[in-house]
Amino acid sequence: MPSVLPYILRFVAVLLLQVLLFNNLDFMGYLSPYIYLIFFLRLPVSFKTSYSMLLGFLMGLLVDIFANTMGVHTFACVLVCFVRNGWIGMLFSTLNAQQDEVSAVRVGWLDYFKYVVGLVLLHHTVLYMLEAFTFFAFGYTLLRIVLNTVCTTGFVLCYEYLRSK
Amino acid sequence: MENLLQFIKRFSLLLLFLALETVAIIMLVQFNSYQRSVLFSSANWVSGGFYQVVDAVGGYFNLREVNQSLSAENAALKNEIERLKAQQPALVSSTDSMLITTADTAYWQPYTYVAAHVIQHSINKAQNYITLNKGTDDGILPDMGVVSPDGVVGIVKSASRHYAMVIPIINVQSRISCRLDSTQNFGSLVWDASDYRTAILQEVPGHATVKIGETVSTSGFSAIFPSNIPVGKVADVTLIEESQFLQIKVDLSVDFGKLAEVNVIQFAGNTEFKALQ
Repeated sequence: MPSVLPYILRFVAVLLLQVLLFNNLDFMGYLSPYIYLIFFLRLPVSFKTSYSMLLGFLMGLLVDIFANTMGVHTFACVLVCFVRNGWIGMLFSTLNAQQDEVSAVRVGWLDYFKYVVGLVLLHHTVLYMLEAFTFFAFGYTLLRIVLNTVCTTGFVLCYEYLRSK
Repeated sequence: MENLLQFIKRFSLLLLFLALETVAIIMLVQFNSYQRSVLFSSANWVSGGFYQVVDAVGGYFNLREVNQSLSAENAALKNEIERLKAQQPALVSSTDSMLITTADTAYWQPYTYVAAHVIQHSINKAQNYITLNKGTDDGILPDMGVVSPDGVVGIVKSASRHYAMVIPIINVQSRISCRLDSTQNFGSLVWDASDYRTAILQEVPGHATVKIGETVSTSGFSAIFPSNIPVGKVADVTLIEESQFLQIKVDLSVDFGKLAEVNVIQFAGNTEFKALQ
C-alpha cells in the first residue's frame, strides 16, 4: 500500500465536483457532463479490475443517491471499469503495464482521445438508455447521448491538457 | 468441489462483474417500491441534509427573485380575502335555513397548504425529481400534490421524516389529469422528455375545438389537486390520425429551471376518497 490517500482524496473530490457542480449544470435541459469518469480514466493501468469495479460500484451508487437515478450510474460505472483494462490492452498493446496511468503525454493525443471517447460513449449510451428505460422518445435519448459524450470528453481533455502543462 | 473452486477462481472477475451489475439492476427495478425509494434517494437524511446545507448557501443568490414572487402572491391572496369579505354579508343575510344546511360544508376546508422549500431539482434527465425540505413530520405523505405560485409542480412520491421527493410534471412517469378551460375537455398531461418548458396533453377527443393560448388547468378528478390550478397554456395542436385524439403541446406555467418555494396540498378527505374508489 504505497499511497492510497491521494486516491481517496481524488475519489471524494471528483464525487463532490460531480454532485455539487456538474449535476447542476443545466443547459437547454440536455447537457449534464459526468466528469466523475475522470477518476476511472486516470486509475493506474496495473490497478486490478476487481478493485476498480468495486470502486465503480461505490461511485455509481453515491452519484445515484444524489441524482435520484437509482442503479443507473452504478450499472454504467461498473461496466466501464469492467471493460477498461481490455480497452487499454486493445489500444495501447505496447504500453508497459508498469507505467502508472494512461496520459496524453505518454500515448499521444489521438490515442488518448480514442481511449476517452470509447469509454465515455459506452458509459453515456448505457446510462441514458437505462434512464429512459424504454425506447420511448428514442430521438431525444440519442441526442442526449451524443451531446453529453462530446461535452464530457471535452471536459476530460481540457483537464488532461491543463494537467500536462 | 475442486472443480467448482477452480471454476470460481477462473471466472472470478466475470462473476464479480455479473454480481455487481445484478445488484444495480435490482436497485433500478425496485426503486419504485416505497421503502427503498426513501432509503436510496435524495430524501434520505444524509443526502437530504447535505443538499439542505448546499441550498442554504446557494439560496442567497436568488433571494430577490423569490421575494418578488412571494410578495406578488401575497398581494393576490389579500385581494382574494377582500373579495371574500365583500361576499360574506350577502351569504350571512340569506335565509336561516340555508345557513343551517350549508353550515358544515362552509366551515370544512378540504385543502390545506404546507409551505416547503426546494432543496434540489434537475431538469436535464428523462426522470427528473425534486427534493423538498419537509417530510412526514410536517404531515407530507406520498400522493400529495405540489404547486408553486405559478401552477402545478408535481406529486409527492415518497417522504422521509424531514424530506420529501417529488415527481414533477417533467418526469416521464408523471401523469396528471387536466382540463381545457374553454371547452372543459379532459386529458392527461405527460412529458416526452424533450424540453423542460413544455409537456403534452393527451387523450383529448379529436372533435374538441382547442384555441392556441388557452389555459390548461387541473381537473380536480383525483384527490391530489383541487380543480382549476393552472398548468400551462396551449402552444400547438395536432390530430393523431390513427386514434382520432388530439396531441396538445402545452407551455408549462411553472419555470422548472428556477423553482424555489412550493406548497404541498393536503386533502382532508383523502382517506374517504380512496375508500370510495
